[in-house]
Amino acid sequence: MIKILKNLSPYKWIVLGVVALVFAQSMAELFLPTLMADIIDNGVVQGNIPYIWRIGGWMLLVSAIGAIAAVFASYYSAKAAMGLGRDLRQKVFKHVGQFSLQEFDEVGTASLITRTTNDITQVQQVVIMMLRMVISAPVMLVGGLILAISKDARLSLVIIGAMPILAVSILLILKYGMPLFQQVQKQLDGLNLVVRENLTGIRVIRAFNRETEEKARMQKANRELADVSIKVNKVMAFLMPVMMLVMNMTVVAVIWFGGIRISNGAMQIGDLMAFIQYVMMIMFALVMASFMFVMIPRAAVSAKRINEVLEMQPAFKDDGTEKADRERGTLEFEDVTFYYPGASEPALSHISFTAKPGEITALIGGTGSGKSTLVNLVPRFYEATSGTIRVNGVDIREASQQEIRSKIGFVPQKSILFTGTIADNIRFGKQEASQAELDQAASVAQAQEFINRMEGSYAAQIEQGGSNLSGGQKQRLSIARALIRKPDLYIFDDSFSALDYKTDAKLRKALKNETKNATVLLVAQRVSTVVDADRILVLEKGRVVGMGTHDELLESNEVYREIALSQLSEEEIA
Amino acid sequence: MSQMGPPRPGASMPAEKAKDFKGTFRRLVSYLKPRWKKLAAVFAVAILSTVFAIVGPKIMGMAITELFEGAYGQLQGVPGGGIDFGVIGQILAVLAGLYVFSSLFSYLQQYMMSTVAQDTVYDLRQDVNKKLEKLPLEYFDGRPNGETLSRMTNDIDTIGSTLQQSLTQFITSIVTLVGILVMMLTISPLLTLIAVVSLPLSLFVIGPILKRSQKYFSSQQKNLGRLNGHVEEMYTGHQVVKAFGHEAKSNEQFDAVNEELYNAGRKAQFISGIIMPMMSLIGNLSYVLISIVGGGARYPARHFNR
Ligand SMILES: Nc1ncnc2c1ncn2[C@@H]1O[C@H](COP(=O)(O)OP(=O)(O)OP(=O)(O)O)[C@@H](O)[C@H]1O
Ligand SMILES: [Mg+2]
Repeated sequence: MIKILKNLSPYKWIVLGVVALVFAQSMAELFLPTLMADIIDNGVVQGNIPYIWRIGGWMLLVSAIGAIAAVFASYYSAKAAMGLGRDLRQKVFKHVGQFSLQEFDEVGTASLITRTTNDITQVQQVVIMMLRMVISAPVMLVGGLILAISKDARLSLVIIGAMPILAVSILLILKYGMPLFQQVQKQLDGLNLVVRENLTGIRVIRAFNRETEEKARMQKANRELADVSIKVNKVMAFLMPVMMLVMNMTVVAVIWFGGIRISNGAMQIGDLMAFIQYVMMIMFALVMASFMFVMIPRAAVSAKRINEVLEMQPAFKDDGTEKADRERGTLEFEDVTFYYPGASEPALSHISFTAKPGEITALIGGTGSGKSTLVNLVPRFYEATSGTIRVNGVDIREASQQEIRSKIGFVPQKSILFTGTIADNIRFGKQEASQAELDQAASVAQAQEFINRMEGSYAAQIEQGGSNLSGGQKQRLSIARALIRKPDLYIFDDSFSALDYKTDAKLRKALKNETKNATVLLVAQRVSTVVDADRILVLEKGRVVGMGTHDELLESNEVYREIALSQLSEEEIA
Repeated sequence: MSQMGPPRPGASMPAEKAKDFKGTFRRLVSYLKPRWKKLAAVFAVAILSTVFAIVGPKIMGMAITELFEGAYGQLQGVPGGGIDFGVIGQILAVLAGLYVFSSLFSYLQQYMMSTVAQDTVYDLRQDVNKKLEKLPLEYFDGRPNGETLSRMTNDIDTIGSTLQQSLTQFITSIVTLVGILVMMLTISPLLTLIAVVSLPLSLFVIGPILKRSQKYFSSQQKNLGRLNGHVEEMYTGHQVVKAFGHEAKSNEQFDAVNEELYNAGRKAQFISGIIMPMMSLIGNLSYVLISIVGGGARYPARHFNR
């Protein structure tokens, strides 16, 4: 928490100003009951109307000063806290921008999102409360006590007796309540998980008729959340009534003992009134203080989660300086082995191959065999555990990531599009691309036709995640996005899977022209997609179990033949 | 300030206006119906608790008036003057009893309401889930999962905490308003007049502030939504953002929305921070007026129990 608060340092003058203003406001509030006592004792009791007017004027002046101070305090505290929130968000977002996929795996994308948004909002909210209360609570507490004692020291014993009762009862309630709040959070996360899984896996669930099981799971999570919420609310239900009771009982006691003091002539009636006000102030300050004790630990949890992100360093450095332009259009793997962090088995082991300009290298293999993993190593989304990868003849660790990636046109397995127009999305690959370039990329990607059919064509709006496009359309746009870069190296990770055979064939034909001077690395499920590749790598459990052309592999490789046989009819193979 | 649980983030923000408020309201009522007995009990207890809480100051006023007159008599040297502790003791005993019951009922009300609110939330979630099972796949393809997810969790959660807090608060506020008016009239019609006059005054001051705060809060919510959307998109598309070297552009867009969020948030928080001081300023104003009038009437003490 403290580390996060250090980010307030650009606002230190504002914070100091807020402290001063809140102090002034608290003092004004403390002063009022004394003035009021004056009005009663010297004005009302004596029937001195001009005196009432005069002190009344003072009262108004003091409360006006208090109000003005409060308004300014509100202004500046909002400025500081919101500024802190803004700065933190920016810092975290920039920092996460530097992460490799490895860090994303480690923390989880969903969690990173929450940390950048909700957690920071939470901290911001607490900081604003703190700025407004952390000064006023102690000032009111101490000031109220001093003034109460100055009015009547003996009567103050009542307060001294009541304070611990209040504090202890509040803390007791919180002690039982707080762990329950955490449980609520946990159950809410649990429910979140179930719902999320249900949503993402909806097709699978329906295909396999797993509705009943999922419903039971959901109901359980729902019930658990409701139960623990009821429990926490039942505990927290004590808070207000108990606080009110202690406060009211203290006032009753003050009136009783105050009456005795007055009858002894040790106190005036106006002082008793002021005293009651001070009692209320003190009790209220105590209540505020206890809330701070609740809020701060909760915000501290958020602060910790934010700090974890900020302290996390990318697993590998981006400190290469070479230019990646020695042998254009080549890709080389030299004995590359890769473990996902924490995994005991390698996801890839001892991969070696070389691809030259104009060649197509295809990767084929069952699901989970490591195809995407291999492909993700090239733009350095992950760092190979051992071995060397060269793009354009340069070790990818010796050039900057930016430099390497600028040579690559990457089409990920899952088409990811962004909110914006079609043109925006294709230009993602090359920001200054002209309309002619857009047209060219779209037509190679076989996207021209459906783009023209859309309302507004290139200006048509894509919704978040491309939800208003079909899978095949998304795939083609994501291919166009890579093509427009005219890179030295193309990577297609299973990028034709949602296309029909005809479009697939047309696209590959158009690509051939496009990629004359570049290397193509292509992941495929269909044998028909790879038949004319210059080199096919057959992957199994992260190992290359066969390498060669279609014909060679059909001849010599058992695994490949099995895949081929399951997909093609005998004549097609021959 | 009868409800003050640890503030939940966002709980105080005005929700988007429902398009079909009546229909929505009716639906909510239909969810509460199966629990109407419990709910009726909650209301009964809430009313009792509030009535006791309002009668409190009146009784306290009696005690203080008794004190005041006794002390005044003593001061003036009236024979037989002085404070009658027997009477005061009795009054205070009644007062203490009242407070105990008020707290007790207020606790009971919260206690029962927690079951009502959370069971309603449970039913709502079950029904939403049932509905989701029936929806065609196109529904899910047509919108981001996050949207459906947040309906299911956050939005329903908000309904729960609103039920827990606002429903009883509503009842309590009405009873309090009527009760205090009656109380004040029995104490002094003249002072009631002053207080009633100061009410429109506060509305006059608070009204525009509230209107503005609505505007800023909704702008804050809107920008927060945009920012969250951007973060979500950039994080889920991280691989693509990196592959195409889009980090700088993405940061630029983020900064723009972030700055707007900062400005809206600053204004919203400022406005919400000045409502309390404004109220207390008006309170003090009427206070002075009351003491001037009350001072003329010679019986001020009882009026000082706010
Ligand atoms: N981010 C990750 N963290 C840890 N392990 C992973 C991660 N991604 C993949 N794996 C594991 O690595 C292995 C290879 O996965 P990979 O995604 O490369 O398979 P693939 O050949 O692309 O499969 P598919 O054809 O289904 O796309 C799998 O066993 C998988 O469980
Ligand atoms: Mg894959």
